[in-house]
Amino acid sequence: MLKATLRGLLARKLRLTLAGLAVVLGVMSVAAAMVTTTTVSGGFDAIFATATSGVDVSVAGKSDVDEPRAFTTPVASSVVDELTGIPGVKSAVGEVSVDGARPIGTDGKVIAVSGPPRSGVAWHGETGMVRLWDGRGPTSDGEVAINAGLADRGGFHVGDTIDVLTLAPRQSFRIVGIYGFSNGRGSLGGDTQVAFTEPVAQRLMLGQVGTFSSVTVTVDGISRTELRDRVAKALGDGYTVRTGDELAAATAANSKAFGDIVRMILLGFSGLSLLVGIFLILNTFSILVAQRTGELALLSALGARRRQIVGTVLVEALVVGTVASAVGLGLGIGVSALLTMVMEAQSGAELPVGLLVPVPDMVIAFLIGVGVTVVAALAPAVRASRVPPVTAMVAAKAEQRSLKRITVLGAIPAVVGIAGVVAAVVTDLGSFRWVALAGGVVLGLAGLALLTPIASRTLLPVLGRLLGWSASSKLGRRNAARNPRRTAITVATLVVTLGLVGGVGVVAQSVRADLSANATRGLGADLVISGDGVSARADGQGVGPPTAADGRIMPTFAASVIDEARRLPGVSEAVAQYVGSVDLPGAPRSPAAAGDVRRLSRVLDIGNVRQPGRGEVVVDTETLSAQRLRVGGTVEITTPRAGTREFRIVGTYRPSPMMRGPVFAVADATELFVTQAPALGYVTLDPGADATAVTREVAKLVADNPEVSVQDQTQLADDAASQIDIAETMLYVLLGLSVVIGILGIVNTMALSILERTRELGLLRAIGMRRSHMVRMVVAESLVMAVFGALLGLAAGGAAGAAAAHVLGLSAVVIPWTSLAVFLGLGVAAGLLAALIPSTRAASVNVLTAIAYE
Amino acid sequence: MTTTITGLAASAVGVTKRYGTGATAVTALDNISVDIRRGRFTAIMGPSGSGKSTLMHALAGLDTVDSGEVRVGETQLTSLSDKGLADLRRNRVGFVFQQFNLLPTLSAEENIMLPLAIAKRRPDPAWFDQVVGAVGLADRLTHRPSELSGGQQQRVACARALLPKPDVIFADEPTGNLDTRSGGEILAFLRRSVDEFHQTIVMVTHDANAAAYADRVMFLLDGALVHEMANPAADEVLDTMKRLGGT
Repeated sequence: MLKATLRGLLARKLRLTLAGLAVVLGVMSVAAAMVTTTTVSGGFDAIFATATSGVDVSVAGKSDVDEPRAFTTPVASSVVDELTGIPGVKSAVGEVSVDGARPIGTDGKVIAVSGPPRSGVAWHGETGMVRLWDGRGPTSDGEVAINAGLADRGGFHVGDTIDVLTLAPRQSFRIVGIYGFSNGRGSLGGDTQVAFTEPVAQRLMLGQVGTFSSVTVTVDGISRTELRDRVAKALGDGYTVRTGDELAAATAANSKAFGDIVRMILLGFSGLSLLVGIFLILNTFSILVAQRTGELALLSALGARRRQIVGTVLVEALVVGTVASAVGLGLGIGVSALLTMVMEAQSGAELPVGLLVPVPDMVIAFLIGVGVTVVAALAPAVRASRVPPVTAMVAAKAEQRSLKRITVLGAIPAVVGIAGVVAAVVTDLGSFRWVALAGGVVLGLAGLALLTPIASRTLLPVLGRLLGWSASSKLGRRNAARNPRRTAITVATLVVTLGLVGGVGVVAQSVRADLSANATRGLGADLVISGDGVSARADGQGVGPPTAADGRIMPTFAASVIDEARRLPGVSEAVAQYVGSVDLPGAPRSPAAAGDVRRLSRVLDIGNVRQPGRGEVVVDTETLSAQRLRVGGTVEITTPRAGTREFRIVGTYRPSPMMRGPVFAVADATELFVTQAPALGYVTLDPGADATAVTREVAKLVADNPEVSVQDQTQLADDAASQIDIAETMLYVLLGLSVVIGILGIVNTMALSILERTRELGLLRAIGMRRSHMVRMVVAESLVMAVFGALLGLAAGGAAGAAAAHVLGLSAVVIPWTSLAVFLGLGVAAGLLAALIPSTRAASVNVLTAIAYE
Repeated sequence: MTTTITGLAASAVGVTKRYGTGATAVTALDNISVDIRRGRFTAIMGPSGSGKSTLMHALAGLDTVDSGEVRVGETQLTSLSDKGLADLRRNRVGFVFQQFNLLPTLSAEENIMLPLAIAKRRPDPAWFDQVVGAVGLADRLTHRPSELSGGQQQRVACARALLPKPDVIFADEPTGNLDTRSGGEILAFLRRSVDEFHQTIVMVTHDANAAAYADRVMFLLDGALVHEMANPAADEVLDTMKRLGGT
């Protein structure tokens, strides 16, 4: 029996290769995800292990704001003296090393690094792992040394001038030295470093002279942990004390966010491709089994038991799954090598490790591949075993099964699902709406899958007519409608993929419309001065007032810019807004602002507001009621720089998209907020002033700062809307990859169907169809299926997306017709592409052998 | 173009066809010459392996030959491209096969019209009605092949072959898969299309009774024409076949 199976396997190499391809792709992406993630996180671990190799114990200020990358409270220099006095401490050195020193390249643009930090540090000579490669260390305020990573990136040499943005506005420095690290590399995982003299670093990076970002302690005579405990005890509660290893682990954990994103994307893709793979394998084995019904019936007539019949098919699946999974693993490792290279090139990160292959994960990926194949082959195998031997041998063609049962089976979840979605949209179910929506969409999709066969029966003829009237296209169309189940399973991938694409498209377009509407809502100013993305910075939701919540230091400009703007002819009002992030009791990371509230109320729709003095705040009405606060009472506010303090609430205002949360006096804000300069500026023009000319003049004021720009309301709205562009593009790329597998699905079915129809093709050639007719016929078949799948997917996805946009509470539900048309076009292209190989095959069918085909 | 000086619908002159090479080579056609006269019903007979199917395939432009000349009407087939052969088969040659003659996805009418549809030609409605009437399928036109009996399916195939008025119709064992009655109907129809519509038909068959419907029978053995018989009767044919060592 096994021998017969393996013989059969060899005889059907081509068909099985097609089935295997799906498994290969699925396993490949799972393996690539795992290897890449392991390599990236292993790489970061290695980087931070070297970076902290000279550190026995590190002391840092305890961050009062619960935010991983947020500004940490500076450590006063007195702590260093205190540490030196502790027995067991060999040395205690105050360090300044803070993310946020943005070097400006020779092209006038900020040197962008995605992932690794752009550190500003205090120069302490060739200590720890720092090694000078060229020149010397900075000795005066106007001098810096930079790491070789930055020198390479920006083309800097010793003696050049470099401009750097820090907490302070743009400042020029002379490069006196270029340094690398004791491991021979020019950067720590691709970071850029600017080393100032200690007081300059303290002022520019921490905002305060005489403070440090951390203190590095070396040990003498006792263990690291012992010292850590001793130091922690001596310093008390306000500090984070860690050994070097703990520090490395903690720092690496922060950077792992990057790796996590990579992992999520890749695993998402592999999940999708495995799902699609299941369809593909199911389809392939169904066709294979149908084509061999006679052969299997013969086995059964010869006395093979039902179990043995199932067994033969499963053994085939097992062999295909094993080979394909092995190939997939190999390819996955290759892809991962490529991917890591691309990511290193893109982000500038350097991973000081080769490719790390996690063996247990690989075993899991392998088992998943084999498992999926066997499970997918099970249903066709069981079906094959149920065919009575005589029927199968007499009627070689499998009879058309009725669609009644599957239609009824599909109608139930479809109706329930649609009801759920409608309920989520129409009724007010509170937080249950999301459950109703998600459940509805899932059930609806399941229903859709089961209803696709019946839909193909009605829709395919209509679609086919639109696509062409010639005899060849008619034949193609009929072929597509021939077996509704097979058609349904073939287009399933396209339906799923384009459904997701359509849904994402609708939600994205609606969010975009919502963002641009909100960006300028209640904005009375004609021009807004802001750093990249600050004006529309998300507070986690994609909408809301600007905060520093993402932990990176916000681009700011000098307060004097506003005073100068106010003096420009044609300007009637100019006002600055300081932006920060604070913790309110029970509400961490609340946005906060500061500024001349009287002037701000003229450009923002916040009502008539009292100006807070020092130690006072005004709070918007929403926050006030949410926090159960009242005007005249007090509130405890925790800030990054100053810890927890009590403020008196002296007034209230209407929340606006640009401003929400507590608003402080400017004098307080410079002490409390991470960024001590304004992040936003509003300019109102005199009536009749030349807007273009004034805009140009205002832009000149911030011309030295490439991170800050001046935008009018239209630009502001566009800018806000463009926030989701990257996320949207990434999703599309991801889904585009699964379209590739979808195409493969169609290729597969078409190729198999054509093998099945050899005789028929021969007949067509015999009665005078040219090769070109044959090609056209197969293209028509593929095209009509692709368009059918694309339309079904886009319609279902678009509807689900519109429902989601509605439930999200977006101000508008916008259907992006153009994009949807483009996606449909992609579906058509997919159809054409999928027909390429099968149509060539059909055209090259030899008439005589086809007719002689048993 | 269809009128010829010779009065031949198709002809083969000194045609040789070999399969394989060396010791295993089989000579399917051995320097054979045949004339298919216009407006006649010709049957080709011979034992299995005699080359009768190969001859028909060569005459129909389905297969190439190693040497010799094959013509349909005046057209020399050996000089035609694949595209030219396809067009020839579509416009000037009709086929009826033993089995699997129809496309399962098309209705009877669509199957009949297929060669014309491929050529983007409209049929003459009167001629269409006449052909459909002759095969007795007027009430079956909307049916799919799966809803028709074997005899009905074969009649659809006959109508399809006849509708474009080809120079010659090739029928390859057209009754081989049918019961006697249905087979008789098909043969009667073929006879009628020769007598009434002046169609030229070449039929390959094993069956002496089928051959008796023809005007002329050619007997093949080992790739050569060994005997000819005009206005054959079934028992004469049977005797000849027995003599040639096959049935």
